[in-house]
Amino acid sequence: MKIEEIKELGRQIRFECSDEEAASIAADFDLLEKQLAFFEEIDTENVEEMVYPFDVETVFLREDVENDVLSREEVLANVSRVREGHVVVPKVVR
Amino acid sequence: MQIKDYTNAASVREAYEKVLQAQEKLNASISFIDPEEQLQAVPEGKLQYMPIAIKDNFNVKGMVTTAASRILDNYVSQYDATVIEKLRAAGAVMVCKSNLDELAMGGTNLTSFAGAVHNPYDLERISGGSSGGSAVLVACGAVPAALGSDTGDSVRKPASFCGVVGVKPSYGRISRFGLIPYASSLDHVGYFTNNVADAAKMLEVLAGRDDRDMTSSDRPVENYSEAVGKDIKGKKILVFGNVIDALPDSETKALFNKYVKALEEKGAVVKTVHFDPTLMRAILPVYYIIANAEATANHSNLDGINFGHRVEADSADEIMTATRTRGFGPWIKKRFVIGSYALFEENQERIFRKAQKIRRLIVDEVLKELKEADALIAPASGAGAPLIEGQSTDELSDEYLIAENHMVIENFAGLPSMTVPMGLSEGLPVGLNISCNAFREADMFSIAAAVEEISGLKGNVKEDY
Repeated sequence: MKIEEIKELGRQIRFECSDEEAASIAADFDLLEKQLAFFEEIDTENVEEMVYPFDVETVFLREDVENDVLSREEVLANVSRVREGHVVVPKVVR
Repeated sequence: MQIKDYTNAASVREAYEKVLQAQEKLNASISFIDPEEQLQAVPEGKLQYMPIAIKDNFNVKGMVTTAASRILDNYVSQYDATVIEKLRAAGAVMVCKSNLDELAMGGTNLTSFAGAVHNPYDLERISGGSSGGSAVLVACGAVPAALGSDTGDSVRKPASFCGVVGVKPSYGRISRFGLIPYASSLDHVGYFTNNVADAAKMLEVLAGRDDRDMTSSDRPVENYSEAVGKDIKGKKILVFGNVIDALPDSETKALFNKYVKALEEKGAVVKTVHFDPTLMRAILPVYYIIANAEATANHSNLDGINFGHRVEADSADEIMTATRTRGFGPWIKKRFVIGSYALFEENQERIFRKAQKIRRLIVDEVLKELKEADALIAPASGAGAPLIEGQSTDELSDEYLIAENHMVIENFAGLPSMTVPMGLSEGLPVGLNISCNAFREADMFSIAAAVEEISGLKGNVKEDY
């Protein structure tokens, strides 16, 4: 994969890669493609995807009782810019 | 070996001092927790006055929780993870937040924003990761127990490299509420101790259903301590033949074979099994695809808007890009790019879904044998910890793909799995890995205790720091 393609992949998930970082990722892609070649040797026809180790049944309904509530102050404690109880970001519509 | 007793406030203070003292050479902690406030009221419980280190990806109310990432370097937890509540209630006293690979994504502990963790047996070598700081703090005798998390082998591999006990129980056995996630279908809470009896006791405290983690199991928590020291006569133990075949002739292999013999002498019925080699070679790439794809999605909330270290810019979009560019190290960027690539619509069938299907085939292949037995054993690592600088590996070899990465299978399958020290290979610790059927932790602890009896390494620590 080309350096510029890697950088574009990074931008799509909201970060910039330096030339050095992109070159290192490109090298990793080369290795990954070689390892992915093992996939092609494996017949997965009619195999269902495994998305969790096993089903843990959670079948219950509880009363709609408030619990583990964080206060507004706690929720906003880690926000870098707060005004009147709201998270502040630059104007979206100008 | 003498196991140190922790029964009063003085022993906690001593542990805290040791954690501070070890920092200069080992760099095992990210922040320190002065225990005095906790010592004001220590509840009676199974772990009363046990000093404990907490991997810095668990939320501890009022403490900075960084997950070793610059993007969270100012994040202060507003609540306790369930495991922290349980530890507090059992009388344990926290003394530090330990170092890890950034966002727990790595196996070396070289990617932390706080710098590398050093192995107490050789400072030029890695601790292993991602729970490296926790492993090292137990290994150097600073604390008798430490919390970790295990998505690929992040507790069991550093346990091997550092000569301590490392446990990852069944998926759902311990609540993950309050653990900063990595890959939700693979993440487990785990921990380290310096002996098997403490490991069993720890699980009695940490396990149990939690309505705040919908994947946690409501199976009753057993008395695991009863399993320690139990006769293993008649236990069916499988030796992981593909791992043994992939290892070069070495002290590790010879050491492992001694244990196989000794377990047989104790009455275990030992049989070597081989699984489909094509599936075994796919373990690591399957893991890499699934783990990175899940991580990319889980960490899309790390954008500096609602929490974390924000970099101001002219628009919300630019804030996110600037924050994430500054906040993530190169290793994380690499993993997110690969994870995101696997999730592209045009790649999903060929890469992501294919990996999920092969995951099932690998699990079925192993369970086919394991279901008829009690445990599967193998060396947890082919050799001692690699050097921090300049060790190269052939990443397409069976030695790397199978022997060094086989423990990912237990994350795929959610099986209980633990590493117990088996001695030194070329002067460095190596461990023996024991994996059992789901929720059969009692089997695991009884076999681990037998291994510990053979090794004589109960309470093993390297107290030079």
